[in-house]
Formats: sequence, C-alpha cells, structure tokens
Amino acid sequence: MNLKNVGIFLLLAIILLFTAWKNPAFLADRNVQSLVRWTSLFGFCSIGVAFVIITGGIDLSIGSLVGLSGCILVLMLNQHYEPTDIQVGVVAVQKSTLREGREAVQVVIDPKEAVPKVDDTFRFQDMRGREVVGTVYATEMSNDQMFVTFREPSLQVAPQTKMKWAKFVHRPLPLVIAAVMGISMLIGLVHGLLITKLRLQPFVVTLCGLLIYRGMARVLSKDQPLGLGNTLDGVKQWFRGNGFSIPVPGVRWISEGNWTPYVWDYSAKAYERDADGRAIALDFWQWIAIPIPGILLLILAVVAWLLLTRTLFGRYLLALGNNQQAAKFSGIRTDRMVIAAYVICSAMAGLSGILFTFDLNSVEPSSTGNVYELYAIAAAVLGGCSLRGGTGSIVGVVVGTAVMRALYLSIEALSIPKPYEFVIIGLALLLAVLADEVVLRLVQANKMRAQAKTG
Amino acid sequence: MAVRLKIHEITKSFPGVKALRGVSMDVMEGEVLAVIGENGAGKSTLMKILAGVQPPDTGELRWQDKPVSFSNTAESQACGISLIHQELNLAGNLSLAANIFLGREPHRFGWIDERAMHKEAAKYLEQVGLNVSTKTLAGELSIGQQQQVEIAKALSCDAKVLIMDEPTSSLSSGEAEKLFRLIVQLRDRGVSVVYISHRLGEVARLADRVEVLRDGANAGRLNKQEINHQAMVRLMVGRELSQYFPHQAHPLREVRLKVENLVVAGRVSHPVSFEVRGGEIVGMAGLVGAGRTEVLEALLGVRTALAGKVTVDGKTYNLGNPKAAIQAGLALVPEDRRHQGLMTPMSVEENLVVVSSDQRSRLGWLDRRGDRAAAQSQVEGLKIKTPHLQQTAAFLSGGNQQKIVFGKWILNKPKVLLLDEPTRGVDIGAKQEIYSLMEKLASEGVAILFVSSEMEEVLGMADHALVMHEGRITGELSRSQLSEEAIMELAVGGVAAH
Repeated sequence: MNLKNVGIFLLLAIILLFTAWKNPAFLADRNVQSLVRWTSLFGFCSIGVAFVIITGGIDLSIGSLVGLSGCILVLMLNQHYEPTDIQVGVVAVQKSTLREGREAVQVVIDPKEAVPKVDDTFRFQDMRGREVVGTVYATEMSNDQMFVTFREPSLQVAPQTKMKWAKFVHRPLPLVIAAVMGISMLIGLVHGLLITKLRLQPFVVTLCGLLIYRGMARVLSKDQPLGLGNTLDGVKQWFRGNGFSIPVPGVRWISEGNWTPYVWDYSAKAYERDADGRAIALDFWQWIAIPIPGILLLILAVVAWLLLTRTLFGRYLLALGNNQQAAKFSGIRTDRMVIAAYVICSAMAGLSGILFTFDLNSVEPSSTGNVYELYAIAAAVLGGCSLRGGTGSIVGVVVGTAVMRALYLSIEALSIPKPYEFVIIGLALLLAVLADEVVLRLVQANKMRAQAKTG
Repeated sequence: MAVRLKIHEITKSFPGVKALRGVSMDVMEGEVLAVIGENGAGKSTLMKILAGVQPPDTGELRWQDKPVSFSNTAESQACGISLIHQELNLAGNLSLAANIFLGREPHRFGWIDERAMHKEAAKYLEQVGLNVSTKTLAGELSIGQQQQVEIAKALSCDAKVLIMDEPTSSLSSGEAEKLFRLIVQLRDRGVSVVYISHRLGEVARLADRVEVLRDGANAGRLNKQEINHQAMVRLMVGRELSQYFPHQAHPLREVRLKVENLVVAGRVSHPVSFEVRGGEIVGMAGLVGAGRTEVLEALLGVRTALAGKVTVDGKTYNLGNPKAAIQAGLALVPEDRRHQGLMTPMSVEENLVVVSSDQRSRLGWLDRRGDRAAAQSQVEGLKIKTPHLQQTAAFLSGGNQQKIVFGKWILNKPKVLLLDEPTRGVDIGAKQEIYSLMEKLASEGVAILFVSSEMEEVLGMADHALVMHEGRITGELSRSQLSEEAIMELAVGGVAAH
C-alpha cells in the first residue's frame, strides 16, 4: 500500500512540475492555494465514496446529491425581505470605507425609530428624485445614535430624507446546515437499506438516485439558479479565507524566479535588479497560507484515516469488503456496516454541496455537481481503492483527488483547448491505473525471482 | 506398458514458497498412479502445471516421448490432460450441461445446440452416477454433487490423463464406491488416472503405483506389492506415525449445547434435537446432502432457522444472528474455508484476530499490540507455518489455512466448537495436529460437534455419533456401538437397532 501512495505522489509531482516547466507562473502562491482549495472541496466526496468502494459497492448519486443539497441549503435558508411600514429619518450623512477599502456612504439615524440589521434594506428618494434601495453593510451604536453603512458606493442621500425599512429574514444557518446533513444521511440510509435488506445492486440503486436527486433539485428550485446573494458575508468571508501557513519547498523559485533562485522579470525577460543593481534572492522554503477548506479536509482526512486503520469499524469494513461471506461467518454485522458506509458517503456529498455553495455563492440545479461522482471514484481508484472492495488508503484518496484537480488546472495553465479536457483526463487516469498494475506485477515477479534464488 | 506422460525435473516457486524442487515421474498408459504427500509437498502445484494453469519455472514435460508445453488449460485439454480441482471450478449460475460443455458447446452456425448439449451432458452425468437434471444450476448443488459434475466434465473431454485432486473429499461412501468403479473402468479402457488423495485407504485400494512427494521433491515410489499404509506414511512424513487418532475418554460434564426441535430452511425439514456435553466430541455422519452442514450453519445463525430453541450453558440465544451465537459461546469452522472461513487476501494476523478483536478493543478502538500478541500466540501454539504474521493468507497451504481458522476461534474462547469437515484437504501431519487440538479443547471442557464424511475420522474421534439422513437424525450411536456398518445403515435411512 505504501508503494502505491509513493507512486501517486510521484504522479502528482510530475504533473505539477511538467506544467510549471512549460508555464512557471503555474506554481504561483495563488494557484497553489487554488489547487488546495479545489482538492479540498472535491476531497470530501472522494473520502466519502472511498468507504463505499471499500465495501465493494459504488455510489453514482454523489454529484446529484451535491446539487440537491446546495439547493436545499439555499431554499431552507429562506432568505427574503419583510417590508415594514416604518419610515426612518436620516439625521446626517457622511463618508466611510468598507472592509475591502472601497468608499461607502454612512447615514446616522435615531435608534428609537428602528434598529436595522446587516442585509436589511432601506428604500428612499435620492437627491435626484429617483427611487433607490440601499443595503445595510454594517451598523454601529454610539452616543444614542445609530450609524448605518450602506454597501452601495455612490448613494445620493440627503439629510432629512425618509427611508422605508425592509427587514432581511433567514432561518438560522446552523439549523439549516443540520437539516441538509440530516437529509443527506437519510438518503444514505435509504441506499444502504435497499442494498442490504432488499439485496438490490449498488450500481442500480445509486444510478436511480443520480436521476431522482437531480430531478428533485430542479423541481424544488423550479429549475432556476439559486444564489446566496450578498448575505452570510461573515461565513463566506471566513470560508474563502485562509488558515495557518505551512512552508512549501521550491515553488517561489519556480514561479517567481523562473526556475532560478532570483526574481525574474517575465516581461523584460531578465532578472529584476534592486536599487543597487543586484539580483533579488528568493527563499527556497516559503510560507504559503492554507485555505480554510484545506484545513477542514485535513481534519476530516485524519478522522477518516483513524476510523479506517485504528478502529474495529475500519477493520471490519475492510474484512467485509474482502469476503462478505467469511465476514458474516466471523460474526461481523455486515448489513449494519454497509449501511454505515453509504450514510457516510451521502453525508460527505451533502457537506460537499454546502461548501461548494458557500464557495461559488450559487447553485445551478441542473448542472451543479454534474459528473462529480466520476471524479470522486477516479480519485479513490487512483488512491488505491480496488472496485472489488477490501482495500483503501485515505492518504491515497486525497492525493488522487489532488491529481485530478491538478490535471484540470494544468490543462487551463497550458492553454489546451477545452474540448481536449475530457480526453486528456480520461487518458491520464487510464495510464495511471495501467502503470499501477504493471508495477504490481513487476514487484511480484521480482519477489519470485528473489525467492527462487534463495529457496 | 508405455510411458504416456513423462515429467522431468520440474521446479516452480511462488512469493514466499518454493513449491517444487526438481520433481520427476512417469505416467503410464492404463494405470492408476497415486500421488501422495503432505500439503505443501507440491502435489496441487504439479497438477496445475500439468493442466496448463501455470507454467513451470524449469523442467520438461514429454507426451508420448515428444516435448510439450502448455500456455493455457485449453492446450493441455486438447493434448488429453484433464484436471479436476480440489477447489471446484463450476460457474454457479450456469446449468450443468452448460458447465460440462463450457467453451466447447456444440453449435450450428454460431447458435448453441441446446438439445444436443443437454443430451450429451445427461450421458456423462449418468456415468458418474449423478441423478440430477442437466438443466439444474450448478450453484444449487452441494459441494459433493458439484464434484461429480466436474468429473463428468472431464470425461466429456475424452481425457487420456485424468488428474483427480482429492475427488472423494466431499463424497459419501456410496458415491465414492461409484467413483472407484468408474476409475477402474477408465483404467481398463487405457486411460491414465492420476489420483491425489490423503485417504491412504483409498490409495491402497485403487493405485497401481504410488509416487510420494515431500517438501517439493520426490520422496520415493511404491509398486503395487509394496503399497501399504505404513510404508506410505513413512515416505510422506519421513518418520513413523503412531497413535493416529489421539482419542481419550474424558469425564463428561454438564450439557453445554442443547438443541431442541430445530427446523432449518432448505434441507432440514424435520425437527432435530440433540445435546452435547462439555468435554464430549460428537461426530455427525451421513451422506452428502443429509443436512449436517445446514444444522451447523443454523446454529451459528448464517442460515435461517424456521423453528427451534438452542441453549448454550443454559442460556438461550437468538437464532439468525451470528453475533449473538458467537457471544453465546459458539464457534464454527466452516466446510469451505476459502470462501467462508478466511479472508484470503488479508494477512495471517488479520485473519486470526478478526473475531476476538472486539474483546480487546476499547470503545471501538483497536488494540493493535494486543492483537499482534494474540496472533503470535496462535501461530506458535498451533505451529502455523508462515514466514511472518503479515503473509497473505492465500499463500499458505490448506492445512495451515485450516489452522488459522481454528486459531481465530480459539482466541475467542468458545464454549461450543462446531466443525464442518475439519480435515478436508489437510495433510497427514496437520490432520494429526488438528485431532490433538480437538482432544485438548475437549479436555478443557469445550463441547465439540464435528461433521465428517471420513468414516475413519468419525470412528476414531467421536465419543458418540449422530447420523443424519435427508434432513432428520436417524439415530445416535454410542462409542461402543460405533461401526462402519451401523453408521452406513443409518445414513441410508435405516432405523437404529436398539
């Protein structure tokens, strides 16, 4: 198993280095973070499906469930405006700045008239006489006065104007997330029951799921794209941000230095010189911040790894994947464990849907999540899970996901035309699996030769 | 007599094991050549090479004095060699006729001629004495019946050299007799029959010559006059073996296993009741298909019981739930160890600890060190021959694999041990060890119930025997009443004389 992991790691390295050779900017900090971010978002699906594959089953409904859970998330948040009849008078107007550094308009109002919240709106006539809507970006209380900053940059508000207040309402996020996760797990439970109690084939059950959940997503959302709009800023900011940093070897040399230890000026095609005319040296090890999704994936991967290698559950799961009959004869409750695997898989798909929605800020019911199950399964197979069941490595699955994402980003970075995308990824996957088999046989043949000599 | 097939200095190695180290022998026309040896001696490997399943590393095969080599089974079959495996090779979801003619279906313009196929197949089934429709699916037959189909298949290939690897291991004595007559017929017709078996009684009866293998090399050969039990064992093991069945009477303790009116879905349609005491070894005899395996499987809970109550040490447990049965103190060493007893791609250690990990774990967390120590204790205690604990179980010999299955259960400290054909496909040395193990466990107070089709085994080991016939217990024989005739009579449906 360890040899396999080394192999897939090498594959990742080869893809990254090859692309960087053709286009050194590929390994810029931003791109590395992008790779980590995307690997993490897809990684949840891959780890989930790995559990199912280990039991010898498969789950084709992951992508549709990602789309469906995203839709349910947005719909259940039930964001909408409740207009009130309350008119609020503008006491004063002044300038302010938003967190991103943009200029903004701030009005002062009397808190006795209204206490607005972030995302509420105010409707009023601006100085030119037009009907304008301002969205609340931030509020602050001070000296019995409320300072309200609007998101829209060039609002023309005059003092003494009357504004009509509309409240922004949504269900509490933790509740909605719990509901989405609950629904996902329920779906997994249904899969598991159909497969264990009614002995239906996993392929068929989850294939139907793929169609049904995609259809449900379209029905619930009335086939319209759903968005989070400007809301939930806090959560989204956090989610799109970065966590702690780790030292990464060599990437700055490649991207900024064009494969040398000094800063390279790409447009001038020469080394950048500082004031004294010397080349600017780059550190080999650079601290790069890990995006938050990366940290979440790290936590999940560690938990999954522990579960698989250090607990009874994991040991029994591998056993039943190997030989379900023998596992039963040894007293393992195979039905329960298979159901658990499907619940885990669907839960991960649901979680993935939530995170994708936070990241992309919207959900397309007909296409979000499309084909994600194939990426997840490919990643799992690359990572060492045999579709026959009984083997699997979480580390391998994560690196496999990274390989899939790296391929996509490489294709973009090398400006390969879109139509070739699928061809290249499919071929790369085939080669990887072939290489795996060939290496396995070479290793076995070598072992036999060694035995023949010594025996 | 001319030499039909000459085997010359064959060697073959696998990861972890040197199976053959320069083996040579001649197979004559029109003879029964028995090849015997402990498991791991290399018999199965040699036969697989002859059948074209695997190529030898070095060495030569000569057919009618012309060198031949086979890159696949079709080539060796075309040459005239047919192998009937110890581990059966039928497609469970195909009919018997389809299985017999697999790959050689009679056809017209690309369409399979079903009628001709079934007609021909019926002829061969009749020759082996299997009274089942050719349209039956192979998966519906018991292992014993499947073996008979395999023999029919070989006959249909018009084999000149028919290799049989432990053919009677799942046959009852009646069916075995039919087979022996068939073998004699074939030999008289000029076919060379290569007969591999651990049942030396059969070998002594059938064989014209005996070749003995030990540890992958020739250990000696015997002509017809020289064949006897002692000589064979001496060559196989390299030492004298006395005390074949280490049976001793033990003081009987209280009843540990009590089965009342058990009815099992499938074969056991009549209520079955019996008791086994601690320290007692009870044998379960009967023809193949009598329902013995079904009873054991129902006790463990892997087969549905339609009615009945089972108590262990006075406590009843729920049938149909293997975990409940195991927690109550039951253990089952199943008939088909490759598919039911072991997870063959997993390591020796993982297989040994799979049942008892539960007890050593805390809150679901594995006690890896404890597991390893436990596995090591069993490897040492049972003398399991493996290079190390991480060795894949599939690479061990049949006898050692069976020891792993035993070890797995011993670690769980069972109160009642159920054994289904415990020494099937196991060599003499390991057989002895398994019998000693059964004795030891019995002396510690474990109640042992074992199913066996080997008359000697039942006669040698059982304190008393239950005999089944077509789904019901036809009689119970105490040790003094035990004899081959008494068992046979009950097995074919007679009622015990009191």
